[in-house]
Amino acid sequence: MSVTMHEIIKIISQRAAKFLKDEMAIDTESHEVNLIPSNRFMLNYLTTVLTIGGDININVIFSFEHTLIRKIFEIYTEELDVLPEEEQEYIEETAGDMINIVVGNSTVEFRNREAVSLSPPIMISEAKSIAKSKHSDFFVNHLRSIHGTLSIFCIASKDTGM
Amino acid sequence: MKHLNIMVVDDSAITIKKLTKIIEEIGHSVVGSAKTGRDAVEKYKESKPDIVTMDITMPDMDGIEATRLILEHDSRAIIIMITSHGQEKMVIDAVEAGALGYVIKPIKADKLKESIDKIANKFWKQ
Repeated sequence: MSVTMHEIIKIISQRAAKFLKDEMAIDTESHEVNLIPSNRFMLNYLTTVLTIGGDININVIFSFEHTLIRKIFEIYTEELDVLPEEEQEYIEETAGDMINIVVGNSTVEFRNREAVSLSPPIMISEAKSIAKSKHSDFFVNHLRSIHGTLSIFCIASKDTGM
Repeated sequence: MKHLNIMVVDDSAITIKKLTKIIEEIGHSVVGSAKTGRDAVEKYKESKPDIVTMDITMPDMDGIEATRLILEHDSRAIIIMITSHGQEKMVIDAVEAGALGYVIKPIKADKLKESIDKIANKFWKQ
């Protein structure tokens, strides 16, 4: 039996929560996966998108509230020298590194699948709303912490039968 | 232990900085870095490092292909994959391409040191 979309977002969410706890000492409250019911949904301050290709073909989106990505960036780079003019670029790279590590590590748990490939992450700055396509399923999960929320979306075409 | 010259390949500038810091702390030097696979192949020819640490997922050319091209140019090149991608099939692909080590991100200094030490003991044991 193949891995389902619901299982994928659950695996990714658990890995994201573990990454935040183990690497950043940021606790998140328990999470629950839902299908997005409305036709539009809002993204947060900084969003990064990565495509899982191969047998599994889905887009994974991590959308960070400003305060949360700022906190993650501070912890992630605390031992490095970051110049003020590099800061915005490095905040975006922090988000890209996090989605890459979390989704990359998650692939170990995708059972009964051939190899999957990962695209480099792309960034979307500033809050935007996204229109939901009727040809795709959108799942969402929100990881809430005292520093802000990370919203995780998984999007797959209905044709893939996931 | 021999002092090693290492080249770091990763599309994230933060990861390059983190790896550089760890490599210097364990007593080696970073002699070059690249953010794409294609750039890595060119930089390898210029800096002739003892070891390359190679990310897999990069724009332009991925780390598996860059590994193949570097080994075509220099069959004695020593390449360690440092990637988040944990699938068994990807590890096999990396080894088949010629990588001699595989370290999973997030990067831990002790894991990287262990991998470098293992290779150093194999190739430069005094």
